Parts: sequence; structure tokens; C-alpha cells
Amino acid sequence: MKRTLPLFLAFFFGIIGIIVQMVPALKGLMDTMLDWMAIIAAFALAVGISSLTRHHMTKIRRKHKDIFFSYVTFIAMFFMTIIGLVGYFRPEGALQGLFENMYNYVRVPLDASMFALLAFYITSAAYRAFRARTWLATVLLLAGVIVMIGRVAFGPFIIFNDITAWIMKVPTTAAMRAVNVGIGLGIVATSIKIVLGIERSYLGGGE
Amino acid sequence: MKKKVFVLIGCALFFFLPLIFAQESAPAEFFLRDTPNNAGEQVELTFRPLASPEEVPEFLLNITIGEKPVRVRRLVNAGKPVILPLITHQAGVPVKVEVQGVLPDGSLTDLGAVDVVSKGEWLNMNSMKAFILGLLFIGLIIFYVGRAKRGQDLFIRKIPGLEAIDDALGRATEMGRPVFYIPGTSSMADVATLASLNILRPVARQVAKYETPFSVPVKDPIVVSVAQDVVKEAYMAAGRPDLYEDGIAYLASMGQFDYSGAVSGSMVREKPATVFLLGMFYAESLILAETANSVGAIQIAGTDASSQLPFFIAACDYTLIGEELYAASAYMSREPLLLGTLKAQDILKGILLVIFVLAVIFQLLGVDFIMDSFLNPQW
Amino acid sequence: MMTKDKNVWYEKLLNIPKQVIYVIMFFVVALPVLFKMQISTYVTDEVQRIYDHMEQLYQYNEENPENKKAIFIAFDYDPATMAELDPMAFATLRHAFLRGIPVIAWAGLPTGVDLGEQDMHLIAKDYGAVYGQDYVFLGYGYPFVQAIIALATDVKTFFASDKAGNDTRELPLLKDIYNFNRIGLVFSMSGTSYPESWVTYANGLYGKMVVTGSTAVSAAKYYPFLQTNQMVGLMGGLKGAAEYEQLVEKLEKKLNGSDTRSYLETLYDGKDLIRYNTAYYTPEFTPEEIQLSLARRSTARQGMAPQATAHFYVIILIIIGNIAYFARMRNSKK
Repeated sequence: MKRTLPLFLAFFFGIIGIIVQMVPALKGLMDTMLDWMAIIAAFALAVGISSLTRHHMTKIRRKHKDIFFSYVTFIAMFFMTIIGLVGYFRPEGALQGLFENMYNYVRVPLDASMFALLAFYITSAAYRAFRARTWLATVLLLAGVIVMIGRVAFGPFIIFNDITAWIMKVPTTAAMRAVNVGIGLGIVATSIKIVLGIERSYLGGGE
Repeated sequence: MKKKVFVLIGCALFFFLPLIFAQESAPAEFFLRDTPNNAGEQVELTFRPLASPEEVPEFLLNITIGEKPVRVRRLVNAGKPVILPLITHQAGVPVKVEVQGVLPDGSLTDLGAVDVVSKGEWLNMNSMKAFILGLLFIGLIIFYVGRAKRGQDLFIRKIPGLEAIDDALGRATEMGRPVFYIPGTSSMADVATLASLNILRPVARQVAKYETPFSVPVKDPIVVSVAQDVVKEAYMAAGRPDLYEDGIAYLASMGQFDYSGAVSGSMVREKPATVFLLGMFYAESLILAETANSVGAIQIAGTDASSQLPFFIAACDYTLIGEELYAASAYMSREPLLLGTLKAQDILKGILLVIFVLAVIFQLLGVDFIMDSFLNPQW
Repeated sequence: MMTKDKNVWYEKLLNIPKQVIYVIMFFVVALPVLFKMQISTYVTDEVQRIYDHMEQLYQYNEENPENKKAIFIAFDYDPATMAELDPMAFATLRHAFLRGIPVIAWAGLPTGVDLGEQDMHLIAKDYGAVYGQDYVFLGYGYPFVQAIIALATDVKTFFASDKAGNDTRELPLLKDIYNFNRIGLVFSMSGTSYPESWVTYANGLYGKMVVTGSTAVSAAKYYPFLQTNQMVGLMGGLKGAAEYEQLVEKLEKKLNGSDTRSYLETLYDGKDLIRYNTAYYTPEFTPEEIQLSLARRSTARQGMAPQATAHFYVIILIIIGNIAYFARMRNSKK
């Protein structure tokens, strides 16, 4: 039963999903299903918070060596939740301003810094990977260098702009298409496998 | 006598024809129709002004939809035809449009009325092509699964990234360092996440067998509960339920860069020997891959996010490109059912390839119908 | 296998510590910012097309003042990618307000809601655009697919109130323009895969023209959509933003005169200030605000300079790496 019911549900709603796409008269049904998804998504937040709490509680209980970070997580979580909630109900109070400041001057710069780290990581990855080991690697390397110059082309480098445009529009688009066709078929195949119950390892056991 | 009648009729026609034409060259022509291929939530008014903007600068549309009060809409005569969708929300709603022309002196002239009842269709012809291809695909799958079940050997090419999994896990065991498995940063609705969870099972089983420390940081709450189940079942299948705990798969964070910060942090502290990055990734892909590299881990990556593939290829030891990720569960289990679907997928890809090549050749020869029939949504 | 001598020059070059690479990168990026270097860039076809489509929309609105069409902007990004995507949103909003094209917007990500709202008021202030009449920010478009579908019928049923808490049925702009019929262009600014969903629904189902502003790392995957016209334009990364910014600046100079400072200083002189609700912005500029507003007009182009130096730094590294690699190969053959 533990296995049959989920398999049946996957089959049932998978087939309904296909039928709804084919039969416009059942559009109302699709809207209802989308509503359900929104409700499930709301529950997911509770599941998420409980998982996060349990994970860090275990760490604290076992006096894990990185216990400090678990405390940081808890303090940040409760602090933002409380000032956010109080601020929402009393928008004229100081906590609402505090919440906005925490967002604008803590969260925004932290997020942007993480993204900015990419600049550093791209440098070390490119330095390591772009070696002319084989002729294919050489083509990749040359194309990469041309696009890098073309993207910031000015003055005498302006010729690279035309070559870059060609590289992006012809070889890149062609390769992307090829990869996308394969991916598209893979997605359809996996979906059909799940709907038909051929693929079931996502349910845990397989046998 | 007969002749005279014909002559009379001829004369009458000659006399009245201009009047008939005069009626036809009304200031505008318009008709209402039910919008096809929908659930009846909309009808369309096609309106073509025939009089010049000087003669009739504006039209008034008095629109009645079902029981609702009449809505008047002003339409400026731009000399161009317009199609106005009128929302009915459901099938079976009568819609009536009365049209009036506003003359330059401000007076109104009635131009007639049209009506229609919105109706829902039972079949969306726009999806027909996808449906037929889908049926063909299912047919191929059933055929090849049948063959595989009868014991026919199906060849599958070597995928280095998957071959390397055993060695990578063995290495972690020898070094006594943990294995990290990151099932992408998308939700359960992404097929790539499902494909990744399918690979998680054999990996977790092997890890349990080797008694290697294991960690599955997840970004999506629903994926957490599924991943916990998968890991638990795998540990039981490996005969080591004693090693399992809920904290193996856990929610690291729900924000994109908070997650990459949290996971990078634990990588730096726990120094995993092997890191799997399989599933859907966005801009955080390189942060995770480079951090894994910097702690000396072997990275096995795989994604169908085509824009993140270059980063994985540059930074990781092995990369599964696009569909290889989907093929992984068949490859690792060698289950005939799964291999059969893989074969069907290849055959369909072959068919598409032939169609593409034919379409290109015909297009070059100036025969457009193949291309057109593919571009046209209806068959 | 021969033992490698760690002291040979090429082995040293092949094993430059990551920390060294990172520190140099830091200076390479920081110096152009500190010295306020600026480079202008050429305009690519995919950005020119966005500009042209906007101008066509303006022409249409001029011909049909009763039946004006709006643009829709989806702020599908969060603070992490705002460095690249904010300048695109700025340029798009500028172009719309300059040409009097109404703007309706929402955010596709919860962390982008405040960001999108702030951006809109900020740029609206530069042109005296009135909230509710010239532009509307609806809030968080969630669940995503349903929100898009709501745009096909009546967006007011989905958003009973906007982000600021106004009843959407009371907003004059939404009385006329409330669904795709009167939306000429759909913009999705994002570092996620949301633009693909906009193509699937807004273009695929409702035939709307979709324009994408994406981070540079994701731009490559959208080129196939451009070729098939499923997307009518693409701004890729800071470069795309810089191009559009340049085009809009030219237009602004043409319409408002070349002295933007005095335009801003006198913008609200003699205007009926009752129209402007100070909850959104105060209809007057302080000298600092004028300074910031002028600087905001070239955010992307200022970002292009560090990007250029960073690219050249990576190229130099690649060349060094390859020279060392060939030297090692030659030596091992000997």
C-alpha cells in the first residue's frame, strides 16, 4: 500500500495533466489543481523550517564543533521573523524600519557579495581549465578569448564584436539547440516513466 | 413575353444593384465568433472599418456579455482592422455587440448588431501534434520495454561520469572523509530534480555499505522530505539502518545564495572527498563547484541547465551533459524496463533528426510544406 | 613517470596559488571603480530591436490615444543579481516614461518585491510620472503560472490590491489596461529560468512579444529563442544594459535637452503638485538626489570598465597558463 498509493496518484494526476492540456473544456480542473499546488507549497514552508530546526538542534545537542553557526542560524531566523511580524502589524513602529534596514543593508549586500564571488571563481576555473590540450580544447579556448574581448570591445578591438556576434548566433545557438532537443526528449521520457510507474526510485525503494 | 420579363428583371437589377452595393459598403464590417481551442472563456469581435476616418471618426460598441449591464466602448477609426477579445469567463454565455458610428457632427448611426454564444471545445487542436508525438513515444517505449523484458540485450554506451561514481565513493572511504550530494537547487516540479533523486538512491546505498559519512544539503523543503525517504530506504536496502539518521538530508537554506554560502561553508569545514552536483542549477553552480575543487574533492556534476554546463565542464572532474542525467538511473541499475525507455528515446531522437535533415534539404530546394506543417500549430 | 621539479619557472606558473589570483582580481576590478573609468560600447542587434519595438509602441500610442498600449515588466530578480539587472530595469523604465508608455509591473520572486517597487518610484520621479495613472506596481506575482494566466483575463481579479495597498479597481490605469490585449511588450528581467516560462505562456499561449533581460551567465541559452522570434530582444548582462542605457540617454537628450541637471532642477516648477502622492515620492529634488540621479544614468557603463579590465586579466592568465603548459610539455618530451 505504501508504494501502490503514490504510484497510483502519480499515474492518475499525470494522465489528468495530459488530458487537461488536450481538452480546453476542463480548464477549471487545471485551475483547481494549481490551487492545490499553492496550498502544498505553503505547507512546504513548515516542513522546511522543521527540517532546518531539527538539523541544527541535533548539532547543538551533540556539541558539534561548528555549533557556533547553528546559533547564528537560530538567532537570525527568530530575529527576522519577530521584527517582520511585529512590523507588519504595527507599520508605524520602529521595528518595521528595522526590518527594512536589515533587508536593505544586511541581506542585499550579503546576497550581492555571494554573487560577486563568481568573478573570482570564474578566474581560477578559467585559468585551470583553458589549456590547449587537444585541438577541441584549443577551439574552445580561442572562442572564449574572442567572446571575452568582444563583450567589452572598444576602439581597436571593435572587430571582435562582429566575430562575437557570429559565434553567439551561429555555433552557440546550434549547439544549444542540440543539447535542448536531447534534454526535451529526456524530460518527456522521464515524465512518461514516472506516470507509467516504470521509474520508481524517487519513491525510495525500487523493488 | 418571356423576353420582356427578362429584360425587365435585367433593368430592375441594373437599377437596384448600386443600392445593394451601397448597403454592402457600410461604414464597417464586423462579426463575432467563439474563440477556438479554449474552454469558452472568450469570444472575438473582428472589426474592419470601411469608411475613412474623415467620414466616421469613431465607432461605439455596446457590448452585452451575459447578464452584465451594457458596456460602451469607444473605438477610434484608425483605418485598420482590430480583433477584440471579449472575456466571458465560461462557456454558454451569450454575447451581443451593437455597433454605432459617430459622424463628424456628433450624431449616431446604427450599424447593426451581432451575437454569439461562447462555447468550450472538447479538443484543443493546437496540442494535437504534441499529442500524436506523445502517443508515438509511448508506443515506442512499450515496444522496447517488451523486447528488453524478453531478455534481449540492449547496448548502452559508456558514460565516464557514471563509471567514475564507484571510484569516487571508494576514494572517500579510503580517505575517511565525507561524501556530499547536492540534488540541484530547484523544486520537485523540475524533472532534473527527480532524475537526481533517482541517482541518489544507488549512491546512498553504496555509501551505507562503505560506512562513509554522508551529507545531502537541500534547498527545497519538499525535496528534503523525499530525499530523506530515498536515503533511508537505501540505507535499509544496504542492511545498515543503524547508520541512518534524519539529519543526513537536511534543508540548508531556501534562498539561492544563502544556500550556496551555507553549503560552501560546510564544504570548507568538513572537507568532503567527493561532491556530487546533480540536478537543476542556476548561477550558484560555479560557487559550489569551485569550492569543492578548492577543498580537493572529486566533483561529479550533471545538469540540464544549458547555461550552467560550461561552468561545470570547466570546474569539475566529470560532467553529465543534459540528457545523460536522465539516462543515469537506467545506466546504473541496468533494469530492462529503464533501458527500454532509453532505447525508445534514442529511436525518437533518430526520427526527429531525419525530419530535421529532410526539412533543411527541402527548404533549400524551395519546397516549404514540411517546414510549414511543423510551424503551423494545427494539422 | 618523471618527477616534477617544483622550482622550474613553468611549474611555478602552473601552480599560482588561488589566493594570489584572487587578490590581483580584486584590484583589477576595484581600481576602475575607484577612478570612475567609463567606456562606451557599440549596440548589438538584439538590444536595438528592443529599442525599436518600444518606439513602435510609442508610435501606436500616438495614433491611438484612446486605445493606448502598456508594457509589462516582471522584476524576476533578487538583490543578488541587481548589479546586472537594475540598470536594465532603469533604462526600460526611462524609455517608457520618456515616451509616455504606461507601465504595469510585478515581482516574480519574494525578495524582488521591495526592489521592484523602489526602482519604479525612483525612475518615475525623474519624469514626473504619476502612480496609478502612468505606472502601477502590483506586488508579488505568486503562484507564477496562475499570475500569468490572470494577465490573460483580468489581472484585477488576481491582485485585489497593489503592493501599496490600493484597491486595484480604483486605479485609473487598470480601468482600461488590465490584460494582455492592451500590453504591447512583456519584459522579464531575471537570473533564473523565468524568462523561459514567459515565453511558454505569454508568447506561446497568448502571442505576446517577450523581451528578456538576463545575467551574463544565463544569456547564452536565450539565443535560440531570439532566432525563432519567441523573444524579440535580449539584454545580456551589464553589456546589454549599457547598450540600452546609451540608446535611452541619446533619446533623453533629444527630448529634454542636453542639460539633464537643469531639466531635473526645474522639472516640478509650476506643476500641480497635488497629483503626486508623497507616499511614493516627493515631487522635488535635493542636490544630492540630482547627483545620484545623474550617476544612475550611467550605472551600467561604469560597470563596463571593471568588466573590461577583468576580461583582459583572465585572458592574460589564460595566455600565461598556456605558455607554461607548452613549456612543460616540451620539457617532458626531451
